[in-house]
Amino acid sequence: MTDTADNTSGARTRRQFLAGGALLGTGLIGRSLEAAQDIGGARGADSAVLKNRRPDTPYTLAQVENTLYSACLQCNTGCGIKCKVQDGVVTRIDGNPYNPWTLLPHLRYATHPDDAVPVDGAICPKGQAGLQTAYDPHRLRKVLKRAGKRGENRWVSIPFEQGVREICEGGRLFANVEGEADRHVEGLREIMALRDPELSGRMADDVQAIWDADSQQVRRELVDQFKQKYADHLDKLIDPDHPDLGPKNNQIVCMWGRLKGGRSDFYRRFTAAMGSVNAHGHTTVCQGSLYFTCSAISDQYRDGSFSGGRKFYWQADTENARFVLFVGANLFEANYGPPNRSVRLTDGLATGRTKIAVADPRFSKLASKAWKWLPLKPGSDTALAMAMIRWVLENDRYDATFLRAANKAAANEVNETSWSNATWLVRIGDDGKPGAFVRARELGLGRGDELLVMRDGAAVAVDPNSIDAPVHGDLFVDASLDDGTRVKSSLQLLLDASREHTLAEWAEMTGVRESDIIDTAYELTSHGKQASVDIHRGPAQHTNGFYAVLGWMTLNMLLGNYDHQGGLIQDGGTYDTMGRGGLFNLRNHPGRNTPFGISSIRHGIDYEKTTLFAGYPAKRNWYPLASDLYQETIPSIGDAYPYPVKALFMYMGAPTYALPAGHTNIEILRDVNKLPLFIANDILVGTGSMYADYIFPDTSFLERWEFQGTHFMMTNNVQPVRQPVMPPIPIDCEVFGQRMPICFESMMLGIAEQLDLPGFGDDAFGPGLDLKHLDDLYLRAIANLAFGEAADGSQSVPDADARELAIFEQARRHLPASVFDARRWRSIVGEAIWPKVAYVLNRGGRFEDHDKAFTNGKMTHGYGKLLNLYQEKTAATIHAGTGEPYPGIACHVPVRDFLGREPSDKRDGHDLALITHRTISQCKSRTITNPWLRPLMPDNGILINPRDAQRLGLRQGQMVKVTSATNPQGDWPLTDRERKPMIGKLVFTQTMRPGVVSFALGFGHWATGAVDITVDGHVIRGASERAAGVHANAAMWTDSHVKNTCMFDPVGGSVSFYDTHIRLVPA
Amino acid sequence: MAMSRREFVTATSLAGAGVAAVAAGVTLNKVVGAPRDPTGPGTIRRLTVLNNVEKERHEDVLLRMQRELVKAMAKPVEQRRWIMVIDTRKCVGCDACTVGCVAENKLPPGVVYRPVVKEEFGEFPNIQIRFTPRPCMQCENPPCVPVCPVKATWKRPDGITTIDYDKCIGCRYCLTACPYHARTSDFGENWQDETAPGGETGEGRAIQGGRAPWAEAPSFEYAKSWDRSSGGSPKGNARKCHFCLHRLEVGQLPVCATTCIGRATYFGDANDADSLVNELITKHQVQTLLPHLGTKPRVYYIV
Amino acid sequence: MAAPAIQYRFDRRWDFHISLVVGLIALLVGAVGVFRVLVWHDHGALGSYVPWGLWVAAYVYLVWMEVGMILGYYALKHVLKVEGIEKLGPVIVLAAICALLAALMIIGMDLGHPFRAWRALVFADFSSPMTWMIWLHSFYLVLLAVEFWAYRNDYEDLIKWLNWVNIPAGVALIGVIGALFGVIAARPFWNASILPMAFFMSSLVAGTALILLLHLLFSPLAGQRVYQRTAQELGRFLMWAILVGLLASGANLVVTMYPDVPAKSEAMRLLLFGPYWWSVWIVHLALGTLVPLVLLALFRRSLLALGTAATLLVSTFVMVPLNVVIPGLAYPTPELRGIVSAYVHPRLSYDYVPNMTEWLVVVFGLGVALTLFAVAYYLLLNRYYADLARQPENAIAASTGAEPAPTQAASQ
Ligand SMILES: Nc1nc2c(c(=O)[nH]1)N[C@H]1C(S)=C(S)[C@@H](COP(=O)(O)OP(=O)(O)OC[C@H]3O[C@@H](n4cnc5c(=O)[nH]c(N)nc54)[C@H](O)[C@@H]3O)O[C@H]1N2
Ligand SMILES: Nc1nc2c(c(=O)[nH]1)N[C@H]1C(S)=C(S)[C@@H](COP(=O)(O)OP(=O)(O)OC[C@H]3O[C@@H](n4cnc5c(=O)[nH]c(N)nc54)[C@H](O)[C@@H]3O)O[C@H]1N2
Ligand code: SF4
Ligand code: SF4
Ligand code: SF4
Ligand code: SF4
Ligand code: SF4
Ligand SMILES: [Mo]
Repeated sequence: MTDTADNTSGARTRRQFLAGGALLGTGLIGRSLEAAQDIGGARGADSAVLKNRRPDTPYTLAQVENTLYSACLQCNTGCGIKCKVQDGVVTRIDGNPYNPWTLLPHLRYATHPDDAVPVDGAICPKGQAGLQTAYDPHRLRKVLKRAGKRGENRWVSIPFEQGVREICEGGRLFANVEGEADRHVEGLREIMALRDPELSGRMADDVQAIWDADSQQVRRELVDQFKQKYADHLDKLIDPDHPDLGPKNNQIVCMWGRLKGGRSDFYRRFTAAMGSVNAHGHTTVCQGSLYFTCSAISDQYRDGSFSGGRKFYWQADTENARFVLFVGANLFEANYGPPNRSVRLTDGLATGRTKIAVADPRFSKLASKAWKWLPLKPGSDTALAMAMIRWVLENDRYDATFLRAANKAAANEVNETSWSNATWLVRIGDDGKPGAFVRARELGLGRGDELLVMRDGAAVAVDPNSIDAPVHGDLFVDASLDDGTRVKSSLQLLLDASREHTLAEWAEMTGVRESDIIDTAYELTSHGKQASVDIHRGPAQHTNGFYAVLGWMTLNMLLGNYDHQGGLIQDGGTYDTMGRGGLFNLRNHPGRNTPFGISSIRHGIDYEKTTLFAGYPAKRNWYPLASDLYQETIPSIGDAYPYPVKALFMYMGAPTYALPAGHTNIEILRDVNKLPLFIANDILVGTGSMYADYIFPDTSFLERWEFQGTHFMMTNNVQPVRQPVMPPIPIDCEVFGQRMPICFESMMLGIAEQLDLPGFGDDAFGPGLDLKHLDDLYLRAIANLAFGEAADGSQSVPDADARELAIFEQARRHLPASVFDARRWRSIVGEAIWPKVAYVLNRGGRFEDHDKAFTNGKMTHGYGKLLNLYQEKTAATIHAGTGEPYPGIACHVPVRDFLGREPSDKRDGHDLALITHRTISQCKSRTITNPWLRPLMPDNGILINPRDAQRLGLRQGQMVKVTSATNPQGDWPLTDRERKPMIGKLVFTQTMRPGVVSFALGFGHWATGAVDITVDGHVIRGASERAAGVHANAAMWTDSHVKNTCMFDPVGGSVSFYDTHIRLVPA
Repeated sequence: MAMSRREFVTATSLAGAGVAAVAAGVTLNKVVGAPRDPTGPGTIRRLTVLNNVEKERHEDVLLRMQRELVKAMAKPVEQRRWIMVIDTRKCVGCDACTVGCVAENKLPPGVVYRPVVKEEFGEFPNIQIRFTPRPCMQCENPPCVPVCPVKATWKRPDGITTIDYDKCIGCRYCLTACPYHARTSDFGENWQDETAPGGETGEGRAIQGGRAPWAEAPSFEYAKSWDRSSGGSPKGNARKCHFCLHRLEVGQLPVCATTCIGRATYFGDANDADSLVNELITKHQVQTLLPHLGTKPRVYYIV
Repeated sequence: MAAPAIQYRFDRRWDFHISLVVGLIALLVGAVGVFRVLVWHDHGALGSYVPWGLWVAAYVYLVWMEVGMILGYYALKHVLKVEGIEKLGPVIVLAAICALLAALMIIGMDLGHPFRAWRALVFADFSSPMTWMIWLHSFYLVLLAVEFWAYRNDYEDLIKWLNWVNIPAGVALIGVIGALFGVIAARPFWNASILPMAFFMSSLVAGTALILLLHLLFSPLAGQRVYQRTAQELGRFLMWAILVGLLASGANLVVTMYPDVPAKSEAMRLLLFGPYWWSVWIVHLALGTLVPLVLLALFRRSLLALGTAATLLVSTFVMVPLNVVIPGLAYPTPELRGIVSAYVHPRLSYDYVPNMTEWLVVVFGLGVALTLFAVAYYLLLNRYYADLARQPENAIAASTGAEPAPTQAASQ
């Protein structure tokens, strides 16, 4: 390693000593300048703390030249981290004090790194153990190719170039494997049938026209025309009879588990360059319906229809709140995330400023701080929410002023940023069902697409987006218009829905005392806008997730707390990296196809509009209102619906492990006929990647770039940057003539070079802007980030001073040239912007100062738009399973399967409800590799209330197997030969609602270093600690119609995690 | 047979030698063995930490405490009196402090300075969970100290109970004496002795293998370098929380305070009337653990 | 009727041969344990919440036995004036020395830094009972060595003189070991004022049993009637010692349970009815106390019975310190009960069962004692007894009033 003292002595300034402070911290530097430091005591350097013969050692971990700021990825929160390098090894990770996740308020952005370095921010235990993920001895260094059947864990390592070539060119790639001697694998080149940007553009337009057709009749005609028009190119299509399936290129699917900015730009560019529409994430396994319900709530009314909703959600401003009702949100152990959310809550709890209630079937750590715990039955969120809505509406505890404001101008008048459609009038059909909003012009009122409200009993037109014509409407309207149209206001619809049951009935359904419901609703409505409902996976991950989320978010609308300090907030946004300011336009992608066609997961399009429409129920569900349907990606391949897939890329995901009934994915992945080519990108052989044909090693989060982005509780504008802080574990490869570690990006660059994909290599972003090294993208993106979004550069960060520039290089002295090379880095962005790039990287990203978050009690970067209490678009969408339209308003929906049936048959003989939760020490497949975390909880168990156990005659600590109606044998079918039973030990706890059992996520692994694997003929032994505990996802119900998939929310796309009933069998 | 004169002389000189040995031992031990902590002006640290970070109205308590720490370090050690205050109402039971401490002090498996005890009370639905982080109490009256046969552990002028790993013989008597289980013994175990064995070694290997480098790094406890991989101390020693003395020296708070995501852990100088910790212990009815034992802990709990 | 002639014997070679053979086997077997400790750094099943276990118990056991033997011997010889044991002195002292050395060896294995043990002598802190223990132990060892030397050279004055030092030193050593546990307020089970007293009683019982055994095996009077008589007398004293010891244990039980300090009574309950109930009820009380009592009471004429009783008592007695050491540690402070699940590791647990390594080290320790004893006996005492036998003036008659018997030397 480079000698610290020698390398820094040149560029020393007074600041230098701030870091280490006393002689200890500064080591040799300090020693030579003791006098200047005026440290008391003549010698000091030895036995400063402890007198003995062992010499003192400088505390190098507090030195700026050993400190690198980045972003954690031990869970998706991505807290800012401060990596401390000891002799070239990252041995400590603390919080980055510049980053608002770890310090409150965080240090001002202008703070000099020398001044920041002694300050450590707070992060959770997983974050601190992160270096053990990176240095895990099970990490891959080279490309692995399967040498046995899929899932047998027999591998050979192959050169990077060979891996790339085989994937691109295909052939009899697995001739050595039993049963595959003659199997020809189509390479990417062959699958990418359409490589003509102009042609793809024209075809895309014509497919759009097919979809836009008014009837199936017209649609059929357009298809015929299409076939004639492109008669020469029909071989490029998946199915000429269904041109809307798109080109064969769509048979390449790129999926991911966890993907953040920068890498997502790379991956999307890669997918688009191959001409495929199929780039799909994992949102629905996570809290899909939370995102997509809020997307539906945030659709804006433009040109007569609703669109443009944002895939996001709102959370409570716990920092300033007076009251928060947390629903199925596990703040102190999970969520996004414990460090940032805890610090924004505990002070209020201790001082009494903030009071909280928790609705969760499980008494969480959060509940231990709550004024009230509502132990609802799993799956009954819609009932609980409707109960509270009813009470609030009937007791006039809602914010009438807010709700009356029918447009932007009205909102502004009453000092609100946002407004709802509570007063808008909805047409009631003959069947009594609400339909579309009444357009004013239907009554001969208003202009253009204006809508209608009732004001003091008279109908008036309203332009929702008007900034100068305020309209305040009547709240509860149930009337007939002059033309006889029966109308109700949105709020009236809500009231009706809430009156479907009495309070007592709702209470009974949800299993919570009526008095507790009322007390909570009273408290929630007693703190003005400093109160909110903060929800997470608990309500979202059900078959009724969309309506659970809508119920709770509707309650927030009744509070009128959106954008209010202490109320409901959204994220303060992220600084752009793609070149909005005009520095480097990284979106530019010259020469690529226009991808078109139905996505492999059938999202973003109405079933009825496609040529595949064949009545109800559809073979599988369609998702016009959701995307990134994790549970659909692989099972749709299994069903070849809408079309067969030939090559699957999987980046950083383990759907096999993560999904409910994930074992159904294993069965498909193992079948080379259903999925001919499967390429995974992983840092080790994981529970999903073990089924791949090829695994390309990746750089871990400590060795790579990424833009972590933000979360919805973060009120400041931010952009945390993940950057390489340690030498990479994978070996180097050479792509486009440049050396870089084998990793996700180099895999894509290698394939792009082999296939000559547009948007890679020379002039990839436009003239003079190559993409040959992954740094070409990232450093330019950071330059964009530093430059800001103003074309004149007025929003750029300051230049790093000379001292900072020296620190910058010093702190990276342990990185190899393929990663960090000062000359190369500077030349990528240019000398002019370089000092700004260094400024950003020296702080681990770009962060707005804390005091900018709120202005006059409202979010500076707030929502400020229409909120759809009633959703016209949702109400117009048809359930592909039942053929019924979806409800457009919050209401109670029971747990149902795809055909709309309640699963009572599956409950028979299985009287325990199964839920799952997170524990602070583990994160899915990422942390079981960390020895420091293991002592906190070496294994999980099945949490059960002793009352249930007694009833069932079970003992504390007893081993039991989890079985369900759809997995009666209670195991994971891993391969032909191997099944892993779901056996766990019983943990008695009063924290579980009787009748409900739970298990913590992150245990029971069958790969990830837990089992033996063979690589190049050597058996690498697994560690049994990594297999400890139980992962009961395979017991979760599959849908009775879509049999190879878990139950799901047909609207918001969420998978069902908390609806299954199980039985515990002594094992 | 009677003793001859010669024999008597032999016998008495033997006994005399014994007594002399005792005397010499006792004296030597007073002269050499007595721990002499650095005190006086030599222990003053004029740290400039946070000097350039302007104080703001709303600061993270971590910054306030760090400023107070810097102030305290400007006094000689004997004028500091470190205490810790743990607000269990704010503790979220996250174990960040536990792991932070393990990482900072490079603790091997089975050694822990600050576990967080979690207890469940009551019956559904009237139940409660309590979290009690348990560092060393740095007792004013530490029962662990007098039992040490070799003076390897003692109380410093600033109140921290210290262990000199180079002196400790590893008898574990102090472990039995500490009522809080705050001392654990380093039995010489290592993380990752057996991880991913069996693969190829050398540059061409496909799987990383070997021992991870973090497992070999020396710790900075007591501002010295302790390299366990060389086999010596602190392997075989009693170990315990030392309020991160090595960090205090450079103006940093103990790790369990800086990494406390609930901000439940306060640290500071009880001799500083304006310090946050002083404010807290006067404002709240603070409690100590096992007060009946008379150990007088310097770790206080707000409950 | 003339008393049969008393003869000192020096030809009982097979006794120390057995000692040698058993000792060597023990050394060989036990070496595995020592190897595991020193080379593999296997520290047994010990942990931080139960930091002391079998090794400490074995140490206490050996020291008890050693001191009990010495004190018992003096008491029997000088106070109770048991005849026929005068010449057993050197054997007893030698056995005591071996026991002390074995104890040192075993406790040395228990140290994290055995090679720093010297520090306890040089940098001692006398506020620690352990320091006193170490010093007294060392001092005692020196005393015994001198005494042995004195015996060999027949410096009776010196021996008497040494006895005056030896007795208080022995009492102090036992007391200090009692205090070692007793001062620990953190372990209520130990923190009983009665502990040193109980330790003292225990050591007398164990010591007396060992004297009986040594008498049976090594008495130079073997084969003569006085040998038998002495054995019976010793048996009687042993029986009384056991009864008094029982009384002391009972008192300890009452003192522990009566105030119902939960931590104490819980530990006691754990001891008596916990998972190791058998070690108290079966091993200690049944095998180590009742059976010997019965044997001593009903078969007092049979040397075999006496020997069996003594052997049983000596060998099961290790349970007594074990059942003091472990329950004192293995019961969690109620306030900290959750600490075991707060950070999970086998060494952070209250469940302690000595593992094979620990037993092997103890076996090695016994091997050290037996081998040393055999070798020293062979080298130093064989001649001594032979010489003794040759000296007519040392005939037992001198002290028993019996007729002087013709010695072998005289008959030659
Ligand atoms: N029982 C239960 N199951 C759950 C949940 C639950 O609450 N309970 N929660 C669900 C939720 S919210 C989510 S988001 C999903 C997450 O599900 P996934 O996104 O599928 O899971 P991850 O653990 O993030 O990613 C797993 C894969 O990424 C690999 N990996 C780790 N680090 C890297 C890296 O740096 N690069 C690359 N290329 N690969 C890497 C791992 O080895 C592993 O193979 O789990 C779901 N599953
Ligand atoms: N330690 C850790 N932290 C993480 C992660 C991790 O894997 N580990 N993953 C990150 C990711 S990807 C995510 S998505 C977040 C998830 O963050 P959260 O959603 O906050 O975490 P979960 O533990 O999944 O929370 C689900 C909660 O819902 C409760 N619940 C179960 N069924 C119901 C129900 O029917 N109704 C209601 N109201 N509640 C119910 C469960 O008991 C549990 O407390 O955590 C992030 N942070
Ligand atoms: S909450 Fe997640 S991102 Fe933050 S430190 Fe913990 S593991 Fe890392
Ligand atoms: S808590 Fe234990 S180790 Fe710490 S000073 Fe008190 S007695 Fe000693
Ligand atoms: S273990 Fe070390 S510090 Fe503790 S009493 Fe023994 S020698 Fe002293
Ligand atoms: S003060 Fe330091 S040593 Fe003590 S528990 Fe906290 S982090 Fe560990
Ligand atoms: S870090 Fe803080 S909040 Fe977390 S367990 Fe420790 S004391 Fe409690
Ligand atoms: Mo997630």
